[in-house]
Amino acid sequence: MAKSTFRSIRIAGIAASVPRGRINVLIDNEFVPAEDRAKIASLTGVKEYRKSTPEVCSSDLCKKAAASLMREADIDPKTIDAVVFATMTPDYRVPSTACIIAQKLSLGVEAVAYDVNMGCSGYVVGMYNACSLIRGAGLKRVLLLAGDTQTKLCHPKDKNVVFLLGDGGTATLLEADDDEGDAIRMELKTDGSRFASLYVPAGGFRAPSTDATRELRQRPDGGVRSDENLYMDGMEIFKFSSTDVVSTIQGFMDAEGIKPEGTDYLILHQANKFMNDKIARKLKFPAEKVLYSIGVYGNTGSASIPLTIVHNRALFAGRKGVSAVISGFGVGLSWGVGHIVLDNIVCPAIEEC
Amino acid sequence: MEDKIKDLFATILKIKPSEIHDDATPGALLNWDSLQHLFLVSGFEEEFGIEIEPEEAVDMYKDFGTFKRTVLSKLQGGN
Repeated sequence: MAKSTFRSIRIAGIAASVPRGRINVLIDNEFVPAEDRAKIASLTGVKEYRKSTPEVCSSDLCKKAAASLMREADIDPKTIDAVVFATMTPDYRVPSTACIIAQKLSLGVEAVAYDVNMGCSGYVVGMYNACSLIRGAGLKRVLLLAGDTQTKLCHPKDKNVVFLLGDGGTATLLEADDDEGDAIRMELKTDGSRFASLYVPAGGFRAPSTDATRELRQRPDGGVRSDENLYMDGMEIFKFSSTDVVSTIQGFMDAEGIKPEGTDYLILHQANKFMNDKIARKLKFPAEKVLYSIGVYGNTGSASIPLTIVHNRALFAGRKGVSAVISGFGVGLSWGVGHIVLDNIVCPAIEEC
Repeated sequence: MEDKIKDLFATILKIKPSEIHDDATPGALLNWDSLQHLFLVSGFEEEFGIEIEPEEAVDMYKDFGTFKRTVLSKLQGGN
């Protein structure tokens, strides 16, 4: 069971970066009638999202966020012991993009750097990794990067995903802390038997890229895509999110004695507002405690939880003891929940890249 | 009430009520895909002032008969 309590770790700061390019769901994506676009926006809560240019990768967004965070927190890059990069959109198939980012951030060769190949659960899985490096391996300072450019994974005419998915990158700095303080408590779960309900079928080593896998086809679910684009079985993912994820969060809260009335915020992966509202209601969190960024940034994969924190930075920056239940869930299928307390975090404004 | 449910269902999916039968599945009915299903669930919640639980929404994606029975149960005060 991957359920752990990490003591004496401080989340020192969180920063985010998004591409400059804006997609307005009500105006763009004209292959869907305007009336339907309005209905989709109303249901999902996504009014607009950011889309990167071909030159901008997840790593660029995360690097920008990390540079902003280190500048604002006055951190010497050479004091960072590790970089963990949670993403499903790396620069290359080989090597780990974290190696390249570490060099670009001037961290020096003493730092360990590796990717965590995860999507929407990437932030919680990455945080679990970062905390393990601090408490298990004795590192002092770990930079957790979480970001995705999902617009590059989906075909621009796949109506099942193109109205939801946006791009974003984030950086979170975790430090060993002498003060016992509030522990970071986390629980992670995985069910690979359902991996094919949310995946890119071809282009890896199991099904290498060919002319056939690159061919665009009209699919039974109404989408247009190739086998190298992201496929989502919407109902399976809805079912997964509303049953497995909800029961895991509820079980975690019950076991840890966490109650909505004693928690400042619920920060869910920004899947879609219709579903997140239902999850929050089941968990008995009042609407004012449920934070969103989905309206202006969409579903940004591994970036969505920290991006939501930075989007609502007035609630966190420089404030003491702000508690939150966080939960990421998606490709794998992989999901996790955590309880964090943010104390005087550095949280610069979102930058554009 | 059953006619009203069928009419709203047809309106949201932009199909004729006569095309809808209890055993009609998402695969058989034009436009009934996962995205449209969420439109259906939110549309019925709004129109009838009911709250459909996520598990029920998933179950309702089986066929129109299941969809209709769930809505009727809600209207009759069922959980």
